[in-house]
Amino acid sequence: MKRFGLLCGLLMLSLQLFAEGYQVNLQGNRQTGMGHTGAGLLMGASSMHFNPGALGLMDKKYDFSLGGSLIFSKNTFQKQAPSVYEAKSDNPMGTPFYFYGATKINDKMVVGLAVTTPYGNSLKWGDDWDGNYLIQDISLRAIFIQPTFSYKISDKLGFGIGFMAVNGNVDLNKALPVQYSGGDATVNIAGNTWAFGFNAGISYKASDQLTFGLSYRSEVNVKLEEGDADFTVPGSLAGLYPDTKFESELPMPTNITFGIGYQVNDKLLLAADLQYVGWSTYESLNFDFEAETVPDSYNQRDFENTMIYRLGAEYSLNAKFKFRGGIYYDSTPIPEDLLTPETPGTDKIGMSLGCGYQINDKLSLDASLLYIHGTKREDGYAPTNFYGTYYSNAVIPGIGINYSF
Amino acid sequence: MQRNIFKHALLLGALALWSCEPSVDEFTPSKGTADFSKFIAIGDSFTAGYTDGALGKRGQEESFSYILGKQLMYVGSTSYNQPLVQSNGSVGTTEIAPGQYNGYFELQVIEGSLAPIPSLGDMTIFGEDAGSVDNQNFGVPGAKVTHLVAPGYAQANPYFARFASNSTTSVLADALGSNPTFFSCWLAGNDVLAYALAGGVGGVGNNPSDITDATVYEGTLTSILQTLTSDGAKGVIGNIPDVISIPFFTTVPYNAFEVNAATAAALNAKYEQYNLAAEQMGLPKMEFAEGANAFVIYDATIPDLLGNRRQATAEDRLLLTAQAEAISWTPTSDPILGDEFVLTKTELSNISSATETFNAVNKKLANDFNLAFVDANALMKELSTTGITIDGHHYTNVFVSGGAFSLDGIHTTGRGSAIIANEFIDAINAQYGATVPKANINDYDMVQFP
Repeated sequence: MKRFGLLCGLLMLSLQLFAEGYQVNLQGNRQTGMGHTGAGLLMGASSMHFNPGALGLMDKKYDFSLGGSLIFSKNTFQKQAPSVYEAKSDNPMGTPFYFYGATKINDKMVVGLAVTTPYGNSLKWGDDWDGNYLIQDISLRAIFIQPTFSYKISDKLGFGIGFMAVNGNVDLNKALPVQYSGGDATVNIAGNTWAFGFNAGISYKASDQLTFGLSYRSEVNVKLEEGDADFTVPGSLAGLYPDTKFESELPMPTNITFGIGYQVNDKLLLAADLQYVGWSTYESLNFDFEAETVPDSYNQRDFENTMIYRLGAEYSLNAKFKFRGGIYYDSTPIPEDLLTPETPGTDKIGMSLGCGYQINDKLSLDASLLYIHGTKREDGYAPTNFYGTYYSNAVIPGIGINYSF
Repeated sequence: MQRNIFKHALLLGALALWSCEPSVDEFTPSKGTADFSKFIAIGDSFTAGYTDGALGKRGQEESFSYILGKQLMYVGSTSYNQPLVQSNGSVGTTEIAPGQYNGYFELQVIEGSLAPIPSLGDMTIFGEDAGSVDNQNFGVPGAKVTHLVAPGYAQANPYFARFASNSTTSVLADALGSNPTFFSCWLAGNDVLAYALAGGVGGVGNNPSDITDATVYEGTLTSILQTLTSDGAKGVIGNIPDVISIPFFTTVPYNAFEVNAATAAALNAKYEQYNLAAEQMGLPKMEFAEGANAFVIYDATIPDLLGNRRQATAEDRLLLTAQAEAISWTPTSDPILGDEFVLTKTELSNISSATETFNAVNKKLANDFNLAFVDANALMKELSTTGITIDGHHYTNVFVSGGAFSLDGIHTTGRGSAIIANEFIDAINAQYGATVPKANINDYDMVQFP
């Protein structure tokens, strides 16, 4: 159990850009091993994130699941040709985690609590890199705390709903185009706030082999009313740029996922998910500063809705061992000419492997390894005329433990 | 056992993938059909690296020619040697005390507002011997086209004397002596700017404040380009920005003459006779009210009877120096801006028609000699109208805060120079099928705030 103590210690560290936009899809190591499918699967407590409807069909009395991942990501930026300029980000390791605990109250009702980190982004390009007027570094994380109630309508049909309390935190630095003693002025923007939403899902067991699931996770609009903006400017401009409060908001978009699980035989389970992400809600990122002399900042985003296509398989070698594999395609919500180095999104292909080991009839371990290949993207942000080619990849090992009885 | 093998494989796999960077397509610079092995720059203060009202090492290392020279090292050039100022100081051309010239302007807070204040120039710079056979920067502040070919110009211009090979040589002769394979030739405008900076007091001719004669301009520039290309060198030539696009001529509004009620009344009384006479001649009257008024300016075309003066209109341009002049007025002064502070409509049209003529010559000669051509005029026009957004900053021709122009309102900051250098690179790449990499604008400096 030492390992998990360590994981808990890392919980509050920053998250890492992983899925497109600033969504992080790493909410269960079993599912991650299978290409992060799960809306159509019956996966006990971890269904609270994937499909609360499936929780009602849980067969154990108690089910706990805890785990996390380590995200090692790399971004490389090459300036628009002709240029020899290249920058590599020095991203801190991301540490998303999850905890699920659920219990049956009676034959029909299950209650549970989920703590997940489905959104986050942490990138560090450096103080003096060429895009420092756009971003130097950013750390964005959201922790979702979700009490969940699920009801077994019949042996075949489960319905569940969860209430999401979200703690969002942002901390970013950027340079300002005003110079003194050879350096640029800078601003730090930071804030922490709570926001709320819900998720719901139904799970339908059509036969012993076939399961369908549909889940809905609402948009959570994280509205920061009292963020802190700290300006570091030359003395002659200090009066114009005092440290001040700001208002801003960042949406965590709606997710609708349809999934199918198919138990081919005793050994092989197949899964497919179709995940719709309502990114179009993210139209702009605005900072409304309290001090009148500080000009408000409007930054066009105009993200587009996206689809993620996922396929996964699990093969039971014997009663103790399971091997998993999966693949997915995650299209970018960021339209042409609106690509920023703060979220350098691109179409991504994820490939995962995983395994599960049943230690005894109560305890099991899951491990997963996910490699994400971001397709090369030659684009930029028109409003500030910053263009180049972005490359990215990420390697994400993860481990989890499940305890049920 | 089986489990251990799997765990180790997983760990190794993770390490292998973790250490692998995304693979990138490398950019390869190419020289195209040009030979950049020996690059030289010939021209005026822009080429020399004059900035913030003076020549010093800081400006020399952020000039457009230096930035261009640095970028050309990616495609075969091996050096860009300059007659660097050896002292830590700088020196300009305004005599601020007897025998004492200005140094760099510095932005300072004076009575609560920011103002550019000249530092003391280092007069020893004019005595430096910075000459070298390896020199590649033949930019001489103040040089007009005719000066580049004038033998003995070092005796007339101390900036050239610093690095001239001898006192009887010409700038062109020294430049040719360095055997260039590639050159930049940019005379950004002393042939018209000198006239403009003097407030249009000159005419057409060879005096310091004159507009250069068009025939002379064409003949001289032709011979310069003939000489430079005689050994097969290729090059790039820039045209002349219209002076009205630079902050020196756009910063002081014609109607920024602030007076209180009493002064306004006194001025109205003073010009009572003037207004009666002006009305009879069908000329505009002079009227003043508390607050901001149009300045009174000298205008030779106004009859002597009216004292060769009138109020400025939106069609006149006041020079940046008018600001300090107006501040220097005392209650007993006659508040009038002399000829040297104003470009009238007529003078402005002399400037713009000369600029057009010279630029037509530049364009024609670029074609005749198969040189890359930079439309610096269009670039400055863009800067002064819409502005230019590059890598996160919006550059304009606004004095001090616009980012592109230095504190003298004429010469560029390091960023402004880099923007120009990139324009030269674009022209070179287009003309010679090269891919010279562009400079990062953000690597260079703007005006420094206190």
